[in-house]
Amino acid sequence: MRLGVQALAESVASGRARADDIIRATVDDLTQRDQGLNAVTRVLETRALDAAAAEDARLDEGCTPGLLAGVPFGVKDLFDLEGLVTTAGSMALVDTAPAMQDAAIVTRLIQAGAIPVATLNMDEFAYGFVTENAHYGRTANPHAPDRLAGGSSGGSAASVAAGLLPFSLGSDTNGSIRVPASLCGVWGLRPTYGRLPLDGVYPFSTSLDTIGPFTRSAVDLRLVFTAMDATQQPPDPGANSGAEIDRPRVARLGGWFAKNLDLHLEVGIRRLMDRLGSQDVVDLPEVARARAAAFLITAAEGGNLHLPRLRTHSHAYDPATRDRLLAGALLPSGAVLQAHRFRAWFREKIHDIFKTYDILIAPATPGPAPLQANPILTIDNQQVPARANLGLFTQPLSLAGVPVLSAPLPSSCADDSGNDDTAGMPLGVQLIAAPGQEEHLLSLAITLEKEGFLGRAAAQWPVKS
Amino acid sequence: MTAPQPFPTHEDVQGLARQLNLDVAPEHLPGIIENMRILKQYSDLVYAFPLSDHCVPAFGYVP
Repeated sequence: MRLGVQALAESVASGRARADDIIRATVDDLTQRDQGLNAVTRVLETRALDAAAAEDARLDEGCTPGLLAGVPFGVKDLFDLEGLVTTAGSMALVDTAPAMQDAAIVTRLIQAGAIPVATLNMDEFAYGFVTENAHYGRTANPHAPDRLAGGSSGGSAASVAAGLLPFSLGSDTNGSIRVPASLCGVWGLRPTYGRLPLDGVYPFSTSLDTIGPFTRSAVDLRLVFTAMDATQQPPDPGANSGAEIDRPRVARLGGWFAKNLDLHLEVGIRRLMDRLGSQDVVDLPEVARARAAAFLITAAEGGNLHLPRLRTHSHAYDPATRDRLLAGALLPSGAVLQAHRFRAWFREKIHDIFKTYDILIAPATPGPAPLQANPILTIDNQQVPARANLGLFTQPLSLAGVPVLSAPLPSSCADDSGNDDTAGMPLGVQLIAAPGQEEHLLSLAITLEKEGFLGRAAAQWPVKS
Repeated sequence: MTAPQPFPTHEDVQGLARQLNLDVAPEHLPGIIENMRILKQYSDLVYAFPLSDHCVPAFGYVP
């Protein structure tokens, strides 16, 4: 489905298109073009076609179209869908009872007219940044299938980047929306911790878990978030809202966030700062400790959650996930409490920065997607595994709980002047705001997208050889 | 005199697991130990930061 959210919703609302036609085309596309991508785990054909027929009938009766009338979407395989087992990317849950109802956020989107059509691949139990799933396979990056899609919401990002879906849902505990959004060249939003309901979402680390959307444009991101949030007025499509800041006070995060960067990413961020008329750089203190605290909290909460099942069904887990969860379960409680106390301190520090600045800018990942055959990053001159380290720049911000928008840099930023084999691969930046200020992020993102400083075209999938 | 083995050893893991009434299969020990050593580094890093007695854990969060 190459059309975006706004275009599809407008076409259905105006009567130029039928939801049924859109859903049939989307189901066909998912069936045919997912081969080699492996973003989709289940196509919900019957349910989606029934919903489309109901939506068309509703509109035929003269009902007011919803914000997302007839728009298909997919969900990471940890959102409950009535009648289906929520696998969370694991075989360990396949014998659990099917969900009795849809997740609360899915219900909100359906009330806005959107139609769920697929469940999407992920790292097992969302514990990873690569979407290499021992049970459901690896999701490829639609810009270069030999490279990682990122994770853990890799199927959500790749399906949107490849044009299979206009939007999707993912979850973000330590970067699981922002990392794959960055590597696949799409937009993603991690809202303020606690803003969106998690009822019916399989947990990972409950004191860090959030859910959010992926889209191919900033305008679409705002549209979907508005429907998810259910507290805002529908936006005037494409226009900025009253919450827009005329001249946002912007700074770039330095220190930790300015090291280990791909050259093209550095150039892209500088270009963005020039456009925003700011050369201000602020250092968020103790970032390494913030990342460490997020690691500890995640490991302990994840380990605690899975311990009862690991006692009896450890063989059903991917060995890599199992070992991480068991290590977390054995972590002394003192370390976790200390991490939570540090978290209180760290939040105060980032809140202080937002007294001076409206928006902070940082890289989303150190560089483009690593090769699947050599999933390694070079950090501080050391080679480290991508699976645990792609969240280098996202994980510390998760600890703070602030909203973060992941935006793709224009493909021109990654054009090559040398022999770089990553030329043209997506690169992403994080726009960060104070708690509850998602609209500041979305307004600025839409402006910068219109001006060509952010955003890129969908991947050509399948890749032409 | 031999240098002490780094924490955790196989025995350390099994001892901690017994606290949770958890049986750890021997073949799972190397992976668990590798991850516990990573977490120990993070734990040391967080513990090394002095915090006021009045800095209380931030479990919840009101935006």
